[in-house]
Amino acid sequence: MPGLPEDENTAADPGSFENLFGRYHDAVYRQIVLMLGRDTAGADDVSQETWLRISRSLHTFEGRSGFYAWACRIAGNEVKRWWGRHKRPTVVRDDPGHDPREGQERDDMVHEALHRLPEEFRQTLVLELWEGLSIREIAEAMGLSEGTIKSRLHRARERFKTAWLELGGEE
Amino acid sequence: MPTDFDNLIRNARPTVLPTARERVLEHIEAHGAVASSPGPFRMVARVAALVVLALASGAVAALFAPKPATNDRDIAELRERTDRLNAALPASTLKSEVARLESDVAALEDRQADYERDVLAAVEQVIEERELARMEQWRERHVSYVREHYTREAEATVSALREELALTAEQEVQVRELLKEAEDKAVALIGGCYGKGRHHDVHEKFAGLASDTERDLQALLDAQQREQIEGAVIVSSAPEDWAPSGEFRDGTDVDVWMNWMNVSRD
Repeated sequence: MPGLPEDENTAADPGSFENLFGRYHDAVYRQIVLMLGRDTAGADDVSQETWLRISRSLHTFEGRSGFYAWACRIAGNEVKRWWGRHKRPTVVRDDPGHDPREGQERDDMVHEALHRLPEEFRQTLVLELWEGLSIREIAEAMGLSEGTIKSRLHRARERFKTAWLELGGEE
Repeated sequence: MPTDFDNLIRNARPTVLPTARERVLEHIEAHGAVASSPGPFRMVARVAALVVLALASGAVAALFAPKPATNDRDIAELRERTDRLNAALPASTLKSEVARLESDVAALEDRQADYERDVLAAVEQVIEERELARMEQWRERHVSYVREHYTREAEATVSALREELALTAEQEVQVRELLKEAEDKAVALIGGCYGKGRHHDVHEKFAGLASDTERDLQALLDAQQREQIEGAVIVSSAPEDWAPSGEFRDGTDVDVWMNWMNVSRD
């Protein structure tokens, strides 16, 4: 399990911007990718604006929710702004017989299935499977109890399976 | 083979280029945001804001002011109230006031006993007065009966003696006076019986009245006349014969008769 990286220079202050940026940048970035799709350039722009806004408003963060959940809400708002300035891509599958089990197509289907999950389910599931966080670490990042996280993970898997099958994926 | 969804998701993990972090930091620095060590600054700012608020609300003074324990505060308040009460009513005044009140209470208790006695006596007096008034009413009724009834009997007696004994006119007057005198004595005797208690000598008094009347009558007659009336009853010696008895028609007279029977009973 990779876990979130921790900046050695700022480990003494877990609430510092540097520490939070070091720990959560990649996780937030992947959430942005999920929200934007395959547009890497757009993900970079949204990530920059997201962290700029976080740096400016970190003093307002009171810890009533987990930092990751808070950062993802900011990222979600930035994605909406970004879509307000850019045209949404239209997904056209001109090859009805394509096999989604291979390569980028399959990953796009996975992202699409994840995108269909409620936000809190999606965030919880990718923190476990992409960021390799333990239940306790996810609970800390989301600002929730471990019991809630376990329940959400269970339901998130069920929802993902449903969404995957709806997209034509194999069981 | 069923799909391993966890593995499917893991394999779809987006790649984050190393340059992504650098571009974010550059972007933040370019916009002049507080990108480094904002924590201490925020802490100082928050503390300063709290201090300002605390000063404004007087909370600092309250925090550092000595706080008496709840009991101490209560005791102090009680002492203050006691002092105020002492100032208004000193203890010595209170003692004399209590003594005076106790004396008043004792006097009131005595007066209450006197009052109860007075009330009882008044009630008894009222009852007695009402009883006496009733007795007086019965006495008048009884006497009135005797006057009316006995007068008729006396005239009947005089007429009978006149015929049987050939009384002279002078004897007739003397006999009538004698019977009138007996009537007056009987009325006096009856009147004396209306009062408290029973009168056990009523029978003796009426017997004496009858005996005296008979003796006085014989003294008025000559020897022949005395032989002729030997054994005759001129005046009854039985008290019940002087009672209204069945001749009464109303409730008052029945009460009179019942009372007379009770009074004159042996």
